[in-house]
Amino acid sequence: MHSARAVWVKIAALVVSLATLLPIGFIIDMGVRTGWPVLSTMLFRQRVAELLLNTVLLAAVTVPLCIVLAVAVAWLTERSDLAGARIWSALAVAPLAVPAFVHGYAWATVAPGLHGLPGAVMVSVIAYAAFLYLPVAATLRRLDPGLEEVAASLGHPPWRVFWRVVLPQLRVAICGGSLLIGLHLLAEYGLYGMIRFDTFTTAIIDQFQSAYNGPAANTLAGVLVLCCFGFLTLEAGLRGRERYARVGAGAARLPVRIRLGWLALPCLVGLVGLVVLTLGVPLVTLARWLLAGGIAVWRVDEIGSALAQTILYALLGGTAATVAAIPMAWLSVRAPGRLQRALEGCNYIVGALPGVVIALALVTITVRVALPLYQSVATLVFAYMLMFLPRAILSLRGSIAQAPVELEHIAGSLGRSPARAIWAVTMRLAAPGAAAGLALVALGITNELTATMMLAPNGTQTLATGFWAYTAELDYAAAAPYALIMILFSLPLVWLLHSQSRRMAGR
Amino acid sequence: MSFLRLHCVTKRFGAAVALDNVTLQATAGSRTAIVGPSGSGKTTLLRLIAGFDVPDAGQVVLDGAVLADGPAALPAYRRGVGLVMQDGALFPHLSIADNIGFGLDRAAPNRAARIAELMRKVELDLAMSDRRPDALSGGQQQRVALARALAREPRMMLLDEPFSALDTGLRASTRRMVAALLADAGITTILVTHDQAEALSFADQLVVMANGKVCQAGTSHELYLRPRTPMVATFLGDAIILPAMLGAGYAACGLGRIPTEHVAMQGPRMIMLRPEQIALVPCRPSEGRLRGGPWGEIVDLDFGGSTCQVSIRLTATDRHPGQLLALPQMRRDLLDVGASVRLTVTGTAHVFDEGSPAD
Repeated sequence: MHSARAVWVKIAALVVSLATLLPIGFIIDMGVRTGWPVLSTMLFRQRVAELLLNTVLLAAVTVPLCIVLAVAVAWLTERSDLAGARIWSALAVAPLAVPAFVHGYAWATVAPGLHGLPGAVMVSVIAYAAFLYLPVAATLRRLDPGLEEVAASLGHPPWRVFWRVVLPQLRVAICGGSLLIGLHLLAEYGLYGMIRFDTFTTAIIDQFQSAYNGPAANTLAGVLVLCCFGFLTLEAGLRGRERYARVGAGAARLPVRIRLGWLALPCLVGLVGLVVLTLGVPLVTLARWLLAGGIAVWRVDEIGSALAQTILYALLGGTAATVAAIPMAWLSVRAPGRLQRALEGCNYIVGALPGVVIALALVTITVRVALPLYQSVATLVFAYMLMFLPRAILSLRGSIAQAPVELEHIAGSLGRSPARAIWAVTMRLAAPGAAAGLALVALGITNELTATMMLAPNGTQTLATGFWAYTAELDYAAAAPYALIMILFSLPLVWLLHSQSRRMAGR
Repeated sequence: MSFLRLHCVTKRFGAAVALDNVTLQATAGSRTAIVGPSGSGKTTLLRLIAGFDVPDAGQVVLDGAVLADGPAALPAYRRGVGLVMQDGALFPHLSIADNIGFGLDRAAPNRAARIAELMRKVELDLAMSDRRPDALSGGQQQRVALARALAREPRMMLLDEPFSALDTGLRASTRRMVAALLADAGITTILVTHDQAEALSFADQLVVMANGKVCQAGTSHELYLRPRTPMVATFLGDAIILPAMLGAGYAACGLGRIPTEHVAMQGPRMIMLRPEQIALVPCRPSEGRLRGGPWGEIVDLDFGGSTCQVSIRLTATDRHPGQLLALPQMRRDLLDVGASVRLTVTGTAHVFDEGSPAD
């Protein structure tokens, strides 16, 4: 009975995973069709070298800066006696509620001269450092203070204890957060469009807008995918294989907070400065544009329609991703094995692909194979599903793991068929996790710009594309209401992330 | 000459008093065990000596040097006090060899040889050097923790329930190994534990704590045989505590007239006997009444392996109501519920300093 049930679930998971492999299949297919001679002339161009240099420099400068900033702020909020640590912790996460392209918009307003690598690095650090702060702070909170005490008893002063005991234990968190930031740097379009910094993604979209799916855009997409794989491999290598769990048993004590003394004031000043940059600039800019635009920028019909369409797409995409996640999530909890790990690996890789690559693949495939689907609602929802599937799987897996398998067995012994037992017991118990996953996906879709721009049916305007259209016309005041609504929508997501990371640490 | 001296140490956490005016001494090279129920302040005491917490008041003096005088304290990393924690607290990101060498200078020329020597000392296989802590058993982890603490040749060693996470058999052997090793090295040691058998076998000096205070300190024998309070008596083993009337070097109680060492004491007091002082002899009910000595009826038997808990209801007399005694017995072949037994007492009764039957 169990094996029969598992087979159906495995087939479903296989179908979903194969679907997620479409974009990568497209890139490979494109490469094979184009052939090496043509490919090599398009690859070894000065333009590609420039973009590669830009991308590498951007990542190489931004990620270390984010690490230093995130570790410093996390240490202050979690391990020092800084006043109002909880508030600072919330403020450190809050910039995530502002979509990256809104950060770009704010800085383009405040400092129109800001462009090129320095500008891109600065705004990227501001927009993304919170992705590192979250895991680093959660890990710092969880560390066993006993290790630090033992290190002190072995004659190491506090700063050396930090270097040799605390920092190595943050490695997994730092690697994971850095990877996330790296992938965002590769995928982001709006921010770098605003700051006028060329990356592969901006170049692909420029190409796409002038020549649709020309071979030039496809080649760039191929290099971009290679960059993604490069980051994934680098992270896997650096993360190492150590377990950082507590070795012994027993409950960990709360870590001791270190007294800052006279350093408290400079630290506070630094944090205030940081919050001014990460939250003050976007929010004040937004407020200024809203004030300048007055009531006239609130074109209710237009904004209302964008809002309605955004919500519709968010719900459709969220539902699609959650339903597609069920077989994968169930398998990984109930029947883990080699097949499941391989399938999960596929989903993970696709989740790391930039939206622009997925969109480009779907454009090409629909145009060649199924023209009626080109720029259709179904294709856009499918793209959302591919992009956000990992989020849905993650939340669903957590809650399925909390529904004991014994309950499924009991439901079976009470006469339910296997599928109905899963549906009536496990899925019912996993509903909160599914809902959370759906919300995470929906909020991601709300702020999605790149794929939406490339795939949306004619006449479709979401909040993100509406915002982008106005900023392209340099009508920053008219764009402001869209940005405000997107920020308001994102606040619950950020709150969820923040409270989840605190719960993970058990407090 | 005391090597470690705590003088009137007080520590509060908010409104809760963790240590209340504690004074304690340990001589050089001695082994002290601090026992007490959880929440008695024993771990706080250890953390003050190690330097992880600072006292609100009082002094900690090690080898003539003041480590802490009220809130003014030397930081932990400059104290030279070794530490082994309950769960080992090994660094999960370092190999076994690097864990042991953590306190050694990384550039020291003989570092590898020193690590190997320490591993031999704690009876760890050298093949384990490159393993990670999570690949080791609990007992091995504790050996690594001990070697790591010994590496710096500490002036003093603190052991915070280091054996409690180990299996019963492993616990005794590890404890003996640690005791021998520390005795050889001549390192003054403090062991914190809530296991009274462990404390009795490990230590030269035993300190019983409760509610942040030292109830009594002394040799193991002294505390076992002459506890100052009923709490100390029961904490260190089974005890039979009875009200008695003292006079002329005897204590009159439910078990008859028992000699005491406290010849001068008069009047109602609480006395203590250890179960091994009482022998049970089965008898017929009529025989018990005839002989006149203390006798009673077995009301319950609780089988517990090598020892068996026997509950006896003493026969009531005019002076003493029918008390219930619980005695651990090695042999249970002659005993049955409902059987009558005579009780014979050997040795002397211990009289508590404080507490009269009226309390």
